[in-house]
Formats: sequence, C-alpha cells, structure tokens
Amino acid sequence: MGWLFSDFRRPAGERPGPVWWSFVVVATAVLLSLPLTLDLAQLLDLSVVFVLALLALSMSFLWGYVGILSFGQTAFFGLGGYVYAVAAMNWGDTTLPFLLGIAIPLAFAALLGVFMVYGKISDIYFSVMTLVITLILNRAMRATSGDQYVIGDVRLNGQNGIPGVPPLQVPWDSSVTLFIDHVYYLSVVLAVLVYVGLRLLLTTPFGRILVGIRENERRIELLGYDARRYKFAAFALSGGIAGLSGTMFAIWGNFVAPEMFGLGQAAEVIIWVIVGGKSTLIGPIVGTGVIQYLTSWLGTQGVGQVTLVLGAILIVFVLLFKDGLVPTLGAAIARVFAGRRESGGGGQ
Amino acid sequence: MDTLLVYAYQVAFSFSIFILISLGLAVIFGMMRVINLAQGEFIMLGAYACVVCTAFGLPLWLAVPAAGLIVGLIGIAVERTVIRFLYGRVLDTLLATWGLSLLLVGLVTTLAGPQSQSVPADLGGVSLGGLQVPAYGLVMIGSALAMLVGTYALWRFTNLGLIVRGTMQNPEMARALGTNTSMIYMLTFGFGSALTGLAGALLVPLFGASPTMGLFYIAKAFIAVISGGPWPLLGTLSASGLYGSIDGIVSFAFSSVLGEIAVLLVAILMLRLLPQGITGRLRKGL
Amino acid sequence: MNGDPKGILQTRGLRKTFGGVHAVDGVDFLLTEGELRCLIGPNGAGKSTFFKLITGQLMPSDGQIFFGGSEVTTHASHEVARLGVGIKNQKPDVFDGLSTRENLWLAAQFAHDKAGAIEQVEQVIDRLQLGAFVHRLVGELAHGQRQWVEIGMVMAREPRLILLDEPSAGMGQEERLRTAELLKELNRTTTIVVVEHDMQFIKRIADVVTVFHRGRVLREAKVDVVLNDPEVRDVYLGRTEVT
Repeated sequence: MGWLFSDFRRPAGERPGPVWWSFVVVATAVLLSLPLTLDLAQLLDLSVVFVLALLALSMSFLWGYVGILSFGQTAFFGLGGYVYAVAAMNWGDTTLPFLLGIAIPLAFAALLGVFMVYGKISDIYFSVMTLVITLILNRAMRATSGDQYVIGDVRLNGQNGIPGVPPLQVPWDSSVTLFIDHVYYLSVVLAVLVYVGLRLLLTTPFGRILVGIRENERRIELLGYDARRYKFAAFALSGGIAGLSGTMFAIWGNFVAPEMFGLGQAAEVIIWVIVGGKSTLIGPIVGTGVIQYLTSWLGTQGVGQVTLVLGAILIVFVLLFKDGLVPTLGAAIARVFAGRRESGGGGQ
Repeated sequence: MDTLLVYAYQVAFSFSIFILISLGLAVIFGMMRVINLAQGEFIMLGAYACVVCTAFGLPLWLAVPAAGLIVGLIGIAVERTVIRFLYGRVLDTLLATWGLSLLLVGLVTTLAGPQSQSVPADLGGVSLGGLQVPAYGLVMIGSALAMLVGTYALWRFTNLGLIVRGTMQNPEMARALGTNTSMIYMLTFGFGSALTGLAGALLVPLFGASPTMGLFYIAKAFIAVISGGPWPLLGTLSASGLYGSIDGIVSFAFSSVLGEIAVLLVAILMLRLLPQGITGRLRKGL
Repeated sequence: MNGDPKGILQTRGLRKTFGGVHAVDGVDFLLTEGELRCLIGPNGAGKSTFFKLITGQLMPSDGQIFFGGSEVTTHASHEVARLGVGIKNQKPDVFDGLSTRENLWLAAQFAHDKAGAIEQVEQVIDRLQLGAFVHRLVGELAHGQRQWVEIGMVMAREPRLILLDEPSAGMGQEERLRTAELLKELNRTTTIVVVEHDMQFIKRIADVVTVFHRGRVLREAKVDVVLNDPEVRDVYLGRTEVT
C-alpha cells in the first residue's frame, strides 16, 4: 500500500501523479456534499477554516518553498478585508471590490518587495521588518476612530472595526447575493484552486527556481538567474493570495476590524503552518482546521486564555516537532509500510 | 525660545523611551543574535513586577531595581529552558520566543486580569521655560542615559565585559581558552532581560501596566536595534537619537500615531539606503 | 576602455582588500579563448578570491575585469553567469534538498528551451555516468559524487568559460583520472581555468600554469618550466622570503 503515499512524498518539482489527483477530486467532492448533512451554523464554522486556509497557504508557499518567513501575510490579509469593505460599501457593487481586495494587497506586497528584496536585506531581517510593518498598520488602523477618518462614505471606526460589510453579489446580477451555504462552496472551491494552483506552479520552471533559491541562493545566482526577481514575484503572489483570504474573511463575517492585522492573527497563521507542517501544502490546511477547532473548543470549555495554550503549542512544536503533523505522520506511516515491504519510494 | 525648549524636551523624552525599550534588545539581539520576540513581554513583566513590589509597600525607587532583578531571573530561567536549545537556529528562536510572548500575555491576563494598572510617581512638575513638564520625565531621561553609560562601561572596562565580548565574537575560541560559554550566554541573556525589566518598571508611572503593553514597544525596539547596525550600543544610541527626534517632533506637532508611522517610513527608507545599519560602515565591535 | 581583443578573460590591476589585508593585490591576467589554464599557489594565495571577484560573488576594491572584450567589473553574479561564465566553488555548492536530476535541470533550463533542457540533462547524466543516482537527493550523496553533480551543473549551462576551484578535492585516484580526462574533453569546446594542488593532475591536463603568491602573480609559464622553478618550489615548501 506504500504506493498510496508515494504521490505525496515525491519531490515538489515532479508532476503529481494519479493518486494525488484522485485525492483532490474525492476530497473536493466530499467537501462540496457536506452541506447536505450539516446545518448552517456548522457550515459557517467550516467556511472560515477554508477562508483562513488560503492565508495559511500564502504563508507556507513563501516559507516552505521559497524559504522566506513573512509576517506581512496578516498585513495583506487585513488590507484585503478593508479594501473590500470600504470599496463595496461605497459603490454598492461587489465584483470590482472583490478584485481590488486581491489586487491592492498584491501591489502593496510588490512595493514592499521593491524595498526589501531589492534592498538585499537578509532573510531574518525580512521576517522582522514584515512583522514591524504589520504592527504599525494595526496601530494605525486602531487610531482611526475619529470622525475625520473617512474614506468616501465609510467611517473606519478605529478599533471597533467596520460592521455591515455587504455580502458578495453574483457578478452578472447585483440583486443576487451569496448566502451562508454559497459562501461555503466558494471558500472550498477557492481553497482547492489555490492549493492545486500552487502545487502545479512548483512543477513549472518558475516554481523549481523558487525551490532552488530556498536550497542555495548563491548557486541560483551563479547559474545566471536573478534570484531577486523570483523572490519579488513570489512575495507579490503570496500577498495577493493573503488579500484574497482577507476579502473572503470580510464577506464571511460581514465585518472587518484591526485585529485582522494584529499580532494575534499573525501568530495564529504561523501556528497553523507549523503545526500542519510547512514542507507540504496540504499540511497548513490541516493545521488551520485542527487549530481552529481546538481554539473554539477551548473557548466553549472556558479554559480561560486561549493565547496561553497557543503559545505553549508554538514553543512545543518548535522545540520538539519541527516538521509538523502531516510530515511527521507521513514519515511514521511510511516507516510502517517500509517495514512490511522492501520497496521504499525515493525522495521525500 | 519657549517652543524650542519644549521641542527639546519632547525629543529628549522620545529619545529616552527608545533607549529604554531597545537597550535590553541591543544586548540580546544586537550582541547575542537572539531574536527575542518576547522582549515586549519582558517589558510588561518588569512593569507588573514594579506594580506588585509597590503593592507590597516598597517605595518606587526600590521597586524599579527590584523589578529589574526579577525579570533578570525570569530571563535566566527562559534561557535555560528554551533559548539555549536554539542558538544558531535564528528562525526557530524567533518562533519559540513568539510562543513565549503569547504564553506570557495569556498567563498575566489570567493572573492579573486584562485591565491596566498603574503606580503614581508624585514628583510634581518642573517649570521649563515657562511651561510645566512632569519631573518624572526628566528622571526617565536621566535613567535612560545612566543605563546606557553603565552598560557601555560594564562591557568596555571590566574583565567580565571582555569575556562576554570575546564569547559573542568567537565562542569556539573562548571555550578553548577555558571560558564556560554556556554560563556566559546565560548571564548575558539575564543581563539583557534585567535591563528590559528595568525599562518596563520605569515606564509604569507614565504608561501603566497591562498584559498587552508589550505590543506597543516591540516594533520600536526592533527598528532601533536593526537600524543601529553591527555596533549594538553605539547603533542603538544613534538610531534612538534619530527615531526619537522624528517621533518627538511629529508626535508633538501632529499626533502620536503619525509619529509612529513617520518612524516606520524612515526605518524602511534607512533599510534601503543603509542595509548594514547606521554603524554598518564601522568595523565590527562593541 | 575595452579589454584585449585576443583575451576571453582579462583582469587589470585587480585588487581585493579585507580589513587591511590584500587578498588579491594587483593581478594582471590574460586568458586566450580555448586555453586550459591551471592556477596554483599555497593556501591563502588569493586563488579562490580571484575566482569570486570574476564571478561577481565579491566586488573588487580596485582594478578591472573584462570578459569577451567588455567590462564586467561591477556585474552581479547572475549577470556574469548569463554572459557565459560557469564556476564550481571550492566547497560543493549544490541544491542539497533536490534530486540530482532536478539540480541538473535547474542549470540546463536557463540556457535551453523545454525539450532542449531535458535533452541536455540526459546528455550530462550519460557523460558523467550519474545514472545510478538521478533520483537521490544530492544532500545524501558522497562528497565526490556531489562534486560530480556540481561539475555537471556547470557543464549543463554550456558556458564559454569554466572556472573550477579544486575539482578533484576529496576524490579517489580513479575519479581524479576521470576528472582529468573530462576536463581535456571539455576543453575542446570551452575555455577552462582550474585551481589545483595535485601536481600529477596538473601535469596531466595543463599547458600554461599561473602561480599565485600573496595575492599576486608570481610566475606564468609552461607547466614543466614552472614546476622546475626554484622560486616556485620555495613558495610551495613554505619558505616565504621570495626575492
């Protein structure tokens, strides 16, 4: 049965095989049929997992495959949400705001990329600077509670956030808006598309060069590639995906608030990715689901401070389970099968 | 003339805050290369230690050094249980200390509640060119300078300081010469934590203590130390001077949020213009 | 100002200073297209620094570098590489987390279209007999095998000039012979500069040898002349008072 897992263990640069494709199709079919059995409240809870999984994917793509840890993902996430909210509330229409919710974070990431990637700052300063930018955006957004902070007709409302963000309309008919179950379908489809898209991207020359940069940036340069161009493009792309996640979050909750930019949010993304395992793309999606359910369960148990538990989880995973759940479990399963049969698959 | 004096006070005040919050980080990150994201929470712990000490009847001028000592000991405990397994693994250190940061915020919220607490300084005001400024502000400016000079003197003129600098620059060689480098790392981390705790305690009479207060300082501290470059103390001093001036002037003229945003923008520009930091062109040293 | 039209690679007064030490101290170097040149000299003579200056891994403190007649002194690594300079650094400098085939593909992909790149990879695999470990991660290979992978990556780029920093280090006698044969074969189409310590290896491949000492060019002559030069022998035996 080892062949079942070999598709997930082959090097990222190689094309995924039929087992992987069947997994994607079956998983998507199962997820899309869930609304038949779940009630609306459960669907609402499940939708946000896929919305946030987009955010986790944007981070793990950059971190696991290019080797850059960006804390700016939450900045792009928050920006996407606010752009959608402000634009949709001003214009009434939602199609263009939806696209802007992706495009503006992408442009902002590109702008930062010009300074940081082309400034050739080291990877670790990159991490710290993106964190600082996220914090300052959060502080700035919190300070917009006065009446003078208005964009168009929309008050930014400081730390109270903006309520009443309009639901998404169908592009061809603005009188039809998406209801809870439609938002669920959309989140699942977007998460699957981004997952498959990123997985296939890694098999293209662009994707393989990104992995090469993670492995040995100097050698990539000596082969004639301008590593900065690729890092810049990857950073902008991940900013766009994070913006999409933020836009979907605003649509899902009809609400945006400065917490979207916050350190707490940034920490949660990191925890999803670490717990799931950054060396795979499926890991962060699993991690998002596990931690989301854990936090909401902790909330109902009244254990007090959820941040305390999350902090402890983060420390334990960094010190003891660096690879995360999915790769650790995968390796364990592979060991079991390798024990039974001699044919061990190559690669990892 | 009066406005000039007030501006001078504002700049000196912002400058001293920058020095206070980034001095501990200059030791822990600047010298030891440990990215400690729980730095803001160490400030918070210092503030709470000060609140608790005064609640037990200690006068403020004793509670502040006591808070420094307490946070120093906490720092040593953290170094022994978490940090020492992660030397050389920069990113893991960053993540683990972030976990620590969340854990500490959660812990203190559970124990002390989310509300802000404060200790009054009761020093009254001082007339400065016809304008009243709080005397405690002057105390803070003085303390910041004293801590900076004290740290410099400790590193530069004592045998311990020499051993520490040697260990940070070449641990293998220091070990070969018989230094217990593990102990030196522990003590240096503890010293940096103590400086941070001291800063937190000094800030209490002005800004109070609350579980999430670390957030307000962590970004500024990292900006100052990173912009400072490879000479941690000199770099932190000059970066604090630069950002303190910008923050002081813009905050006073417009608003404190604009001050912070101005600082961030200048910091990003600095990174582009001087990627090695302000002291990057000097040869590596203290 | 342009370089010598005969030379594929030329440096004029090239200098690199690290904190007061002149690692490369005014090197004038001229290499003609089609040569196979050996660089020798004791450790710390500046050979590796010289390579790094040419390939843009380090910026010169002073002097000029010309490649194919045009100045490349301040070019970044990837720009020099695009002009057709390939380098194997002293320590294996490969993608440890990728398979052998992926390593080679990353190199070949740059210079070829899709089908051409795959064909090029297969050719290199055949030529270097890497077939046994195409799917293994390069990080898991033995030191000598990783050297071969790196040489393969340089070849797959099909550069005009190849710089090899100690290609036979860590190899057994048989592998050294194979490497020497490979270099001679490559030299039919490519200009090559090799840094080496092994005199047998040098005698086997080189025509003209350049001797570095203390960041300068001490001698430059035919291999047998250089190896019989008393001054060069002094340098290698560690007597440093060169007059």
